[in-house]
Amino acid sequence: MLKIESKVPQGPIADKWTKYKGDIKIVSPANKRKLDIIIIGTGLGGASAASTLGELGYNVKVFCISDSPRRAHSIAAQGGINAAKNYQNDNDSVFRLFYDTIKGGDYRAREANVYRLAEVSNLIIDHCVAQGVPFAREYGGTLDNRSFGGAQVSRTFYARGQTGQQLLLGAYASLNRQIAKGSVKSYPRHEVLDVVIVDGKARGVITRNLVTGEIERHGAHAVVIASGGYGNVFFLSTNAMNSNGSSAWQAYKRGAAFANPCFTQIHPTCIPVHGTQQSKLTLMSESLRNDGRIWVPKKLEDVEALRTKKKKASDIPEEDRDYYLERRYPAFGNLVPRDVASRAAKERCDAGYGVNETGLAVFLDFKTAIDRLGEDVIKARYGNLFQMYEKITDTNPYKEPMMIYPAVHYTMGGLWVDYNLMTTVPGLYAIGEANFSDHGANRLGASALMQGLADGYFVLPYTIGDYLSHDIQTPKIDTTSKEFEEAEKAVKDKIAKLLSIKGSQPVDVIHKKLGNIMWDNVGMARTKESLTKAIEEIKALREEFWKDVKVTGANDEFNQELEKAIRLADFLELGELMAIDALNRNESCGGHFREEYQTPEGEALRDDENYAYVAIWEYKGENQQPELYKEDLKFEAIKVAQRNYKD
Amino acid sequence: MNLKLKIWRQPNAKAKGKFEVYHVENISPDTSFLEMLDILNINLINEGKEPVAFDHDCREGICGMCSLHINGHAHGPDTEITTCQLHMRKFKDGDTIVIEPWRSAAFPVIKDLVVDRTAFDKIL
Repeated sequence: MLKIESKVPQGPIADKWTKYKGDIKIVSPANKRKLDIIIIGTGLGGASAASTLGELGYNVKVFCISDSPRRAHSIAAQGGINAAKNYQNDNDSVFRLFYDTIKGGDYRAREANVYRLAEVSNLIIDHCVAQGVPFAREYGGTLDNRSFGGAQVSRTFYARGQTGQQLLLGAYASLNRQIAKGSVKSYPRHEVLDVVIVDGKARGVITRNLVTGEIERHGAHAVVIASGGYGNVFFLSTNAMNSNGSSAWQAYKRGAAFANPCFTQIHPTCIPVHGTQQSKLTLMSESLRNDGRIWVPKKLEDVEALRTKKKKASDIPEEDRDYYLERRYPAFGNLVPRDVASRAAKERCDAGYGVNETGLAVFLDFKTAIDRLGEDVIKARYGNLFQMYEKITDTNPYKEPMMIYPAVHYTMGGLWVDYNLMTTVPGLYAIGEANFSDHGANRLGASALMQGLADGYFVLPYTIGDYLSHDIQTPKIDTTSKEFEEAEKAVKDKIAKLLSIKGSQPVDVIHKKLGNIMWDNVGMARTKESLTKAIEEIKALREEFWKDVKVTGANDEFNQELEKAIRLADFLELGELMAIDALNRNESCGGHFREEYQTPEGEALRDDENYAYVAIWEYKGENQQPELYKEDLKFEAIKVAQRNYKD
Repeated sequence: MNLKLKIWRQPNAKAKGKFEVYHVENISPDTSFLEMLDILNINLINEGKEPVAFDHDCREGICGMCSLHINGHAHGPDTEITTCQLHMRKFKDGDTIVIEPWRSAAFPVIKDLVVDRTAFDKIL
C-alpha cells in the first residue's frame, strides 16, 4: 500500500517555499563530504543538479549515455526559457506566470509546485547570465524577450533558435568545473539499467558501460533520476534517437509510482513525415509562431491544386486563405497553447484541407512578417531554423511558407514526486521531464528549460539536504549486499535473454510497430475503443518481441542493437501503462483528448468533478494490472475555469 | 537511388580495420544520410550480418554526436551542417560513397565509425 503524501507546506501560496526553506534541515560541510549522490542524466536538470550539489560539497557521480554530458537532448531545445522578469513592462508577474502555467496545463498540475517554479524562474535568468549564457539582447544591451503560446505577455528569454544548447553549455561548463575539482565524477557512455533499493531506500544503481559492456554497481545515499521523457515510445518523435524511459521505468518497477503517464505533448510545428523509412521528426520552434501565421486554403480545389503542384502557396490570394487559429481564437491567435494548435491542425487536415501529398500538413507563413520587418530581421531571429528547414525539405522558407504538422514532443507525465521532488521511494528523486509535477496535462512552450533548471539549480539542492540530514550516520553504501547482487543478476539475465532469442525481426522493426499502435490509438485523439485496442495490441507485440526479436552481437562489446533492445523492452511496457491511464481518464484535458469528451466547438471538455486528480500508478508485477492511487488537486490561489483562448 | 557504399569496419579499438563494400537500393533523395545507414543496417541484420556502428543522437543538427568522414570530407559534401542534416539529394544515383571514422590519433576508433572523443572534454 502506497502512502501518497504531497508534503505541500501550509500557508499562503506566495510564502510556502520561503517558509519551507527556513524550516527544513541542512547538512554541514563536514558531513556533506561523506555523502554520495548519483545523478542519472546530464541534460539541463541533471547537469544543473550535479554541478550545484558538487559545489555544495557532496560526492556526486553523474551518468549519461552520450559520449559527453553536453550532448543531452536539452541541447535541442530551440525557442527559449520563460521567466517572470516583467522586463517588457507588460504587466507580467510571478503570479501571472504561475497562472498561465496552471491554465496552460488545463488545471491538472500541483499548484504549490507550479508557484515555486514561477518564483525561482527569475533566479535562473540571473544565474545563467552570470555563467555567460549569450541571451539575445536589445540594441542597448538589455535582455530581449519574445512571446510563446499560452501567454499574452513577452517573457521568453532566448538565444536565437538555440536556447537549449546555450543553457546546456552553461550548465555543462559548471559541471566540468566540478569534475575538474573532483567533487563530481562523470561516467559518459554509461547506461543505468536498474535502481537498487536497500531497506526501502534508494541506495544505488546498476550500470552498463556502453563501450565494454561491463555491468557495474554504484552505491549512494540518494539517487536522482534526470533522464528526461519517454516520447520515443512513439518511435517517431522530436526526441533524440537515444532518449528513453528506461531508468524511470526501472524505478517504477522497483516501487516508484508513475503519474499521469498518458499526458503526452504533441507539438504543432514539426516538419511533416515524408516516408516510412523516416527515423526522426524535426521540430520547428514555437517561437516561429510569433511571426508566422498558420493557414490552409478555404477552397478544396486549391488544396487539390497544391497537392498536384499546379499551384504554389503564394498563388493563393489572401481572401482564399483560412487562418484558422486567428479565426477560432481571436485573443491568442497563432499563440494558442500547443495542444490547442495541434488539434486545430488535425481538425483541418481531417476535414481534407492538408496541403501536401499526404494531406497531413498546414502552412506556417512568414510573408506578413517579412513584408513588415524585412528578411534581415527574420533571419536574425530564426536564421538557424530556416536553414534547418531548407536542409531537410529543400524548400526556401523565405520564399514559400513552411509546411508543418504535429508530432510527439514531450511527456508531461512521469515519476510521481512530492514537493521535495522525491518519488514514493525514499531517497529516490526525479527532476525535469522525468517527473510529472509542473505542467499538468499540457506544457507551455519555453517552460521545459525553466523547469529543468529550476529543479536542478534551485529546488533539489535544498530539498535533498533535508533528506540527507537524516542519513549522516550512514557509512558508504556497501555494494556487495544481496540487493546489489540481485539487481545485477536481474540485469545480466535480461541481457542474456535478449541475446538468446535470435528471432527474425530487427529491434527497429518492432519499435516502429509499437510507434504505429501508439500514434493511431494513444495519439492526438483517443477513444475508449482505440485505447482498449492498443492495450491488446501492445500485449501481443510484447510477446512477439520476447519471442522473435533479433539482437545481433554480444554483451561484452559496443553494441547499439542491444542498447535499443533493452530500451524497447521497457517502452513495450510503458506504452501499455499510457493506454491504461488514458482509458481511466474519462475526460479531455490538455494533450489528453478523448473524442467522447468535447464541447460542441470541439474543445477539450474536462470533468473536474471526477478527474481533478493526479493518476498515480503502482507496479504490481509482470502482466498485472497496476494499482491506481489518486492525489486530489486542490486549487486555492486561483479559480478553476474552462480554458478560454478566444477572448 | 542506388548506391555503392565503402564503409570502414573495425570490431574494436585493438582490431585491425578494413573497408567493406555494400549496396543499397531505392533510396529516396529526401532520406537523410543517417536514415540511409539505418536502411543498410536493417538489411545487414536481415542478412545475418553485424550492423555498422555509428554515433548519432538528436538528428536535428545540434547535439554534435554524429561524425563521419564522407568522401574525404568531415560531415560530407554539404556545408554548414552536421552529418545528420545531410540528405541523399546531395548525391547522384549510382554514386560510390566512402564512409570513414574520423582519422585522428586524438579520437581512437571504438567500433566501425564510432570514435572516442573524450579528449574534447579534457580541453573544454
